[in-house]
Amino acid sequence: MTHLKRAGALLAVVLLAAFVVPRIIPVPDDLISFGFHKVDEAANEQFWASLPMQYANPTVCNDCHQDKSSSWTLGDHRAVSCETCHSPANDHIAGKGLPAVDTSRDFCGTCHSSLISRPANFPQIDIGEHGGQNTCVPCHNPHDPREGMPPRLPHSMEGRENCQSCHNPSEPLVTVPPRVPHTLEGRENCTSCHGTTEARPTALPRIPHSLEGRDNCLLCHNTSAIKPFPENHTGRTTDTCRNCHQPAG
Amino acid sequence: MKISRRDFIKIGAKGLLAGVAFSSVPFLLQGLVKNSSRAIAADGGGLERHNWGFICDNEKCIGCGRCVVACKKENKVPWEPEFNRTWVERYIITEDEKIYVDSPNAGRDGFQDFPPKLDVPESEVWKSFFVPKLCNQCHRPPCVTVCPVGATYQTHDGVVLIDQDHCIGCRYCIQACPYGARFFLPELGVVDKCTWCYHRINRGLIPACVEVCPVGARIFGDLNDPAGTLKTTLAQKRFYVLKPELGTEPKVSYIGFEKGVY
Repeated sequence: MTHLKRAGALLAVVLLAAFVVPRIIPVPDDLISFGFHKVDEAANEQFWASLPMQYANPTVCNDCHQDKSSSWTLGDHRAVSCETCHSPANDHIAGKGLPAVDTSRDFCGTCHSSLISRPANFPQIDIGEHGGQNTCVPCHNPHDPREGMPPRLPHSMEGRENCQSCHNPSEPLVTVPPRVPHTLEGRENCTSCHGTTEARPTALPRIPHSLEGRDNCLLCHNTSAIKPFPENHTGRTTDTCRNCHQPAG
Repeated sequence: MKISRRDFIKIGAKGLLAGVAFSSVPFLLQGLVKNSSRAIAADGGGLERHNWGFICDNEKCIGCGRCVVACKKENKVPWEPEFNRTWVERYIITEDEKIYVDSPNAGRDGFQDFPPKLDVPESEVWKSFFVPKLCNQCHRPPCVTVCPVGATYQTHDGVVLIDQDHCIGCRYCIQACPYGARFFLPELGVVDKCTWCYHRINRGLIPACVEVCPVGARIFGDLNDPAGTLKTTLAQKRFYVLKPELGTEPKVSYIGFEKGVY
């Protein structure tokens, strides 16, 4: 038996010496270093990760252009990155020219021309009709597009004393229902309907409403205006209304 | 010489054990030598730290195509409309539930009019919306499976990359991608695809298309970051992925599900 064991041990040593140990020398750790056999993933990732960039970001732009970014931060375009309109900035940052900006109607229209596919709550205009064929920028500051525009409705009355400076009879700016814009003829006191602290151009006073400050019923309640005025009421005047319609509250 | 059955089995078993032990030596040695750590992220962490993800919000997309422009400029993608790493599709669903999809110039120039080719009047449109498209960086990418030379693979942070030196331009992966995310670059003779701006995300920035999107319809982030915008948005919104039945496990999630979007 001993000689058999010895033979076995010898065979093992020979195997190790002849095949396993030399194999370590010619067979490389990986095949990458021998050319085209396998992708060197780490090197490839490094290649992609180190490519040069074209686009910076608003934080970088703000380093120099605070004058623009201060109005932009508050305006309705604050979610729009500078480079969305101004094109990539990295060449400009490196001192190579100014980033181009397109101020044509068509460029603004890429976002704001009316399309059935856009979300309904996104501001859209009929590019063929709106504002003639002028460029947009003279009226709309691109950094703060609502600057100088009518306030969103309903707006607060704070600091607004003279309603007719915006809402004048010949050119009413409010275009909201019901039956509005109405003429301002005979309506001196806007706040009698439109509240004192908060304007209510989209809603009429709650019914029944108080009569405080309202002395001319037919101003609102007439055949051509807002509230019901039954046919059999023809000929009635403000003086007779309260015979039946008692003030609320 | 006579050898008993017991001894024969004993010796055989020992020999077998020794053989297995010997043949494993080179692998053990290789394991000791091989450096398996990978780290290129600018924030110092290894790739394994991140698991990038992406959201496209169909409810917000306005189809302005700024993403397509930004992608082309950032990644030197040819300006011609047939080469795109990202593009925008317009879906039009009529009252009788017929679905029309178009993408003029891949959405690069925005969408100017109601599609003139469509023989359906605008009044018969039931609904219409935009769907941004890009590489889904699938968790189980079919394009990687089919590559005959192993030139494309998935990184440890979950992005599918191509090695341009190894790609032989056979375009099998273009056929295999169910999302049409790959295209052939004739100039280099290789296939190209979206890398989620690998050069930007590894510098701590967001992809160019996400950067320029004016309405926040594209969100990029790390699925490993539980407090990040990506994870919190996915937690709040109902979302879906494209062609889930294929088992590719895409990492682009879409908000605003609509039957028929593929």
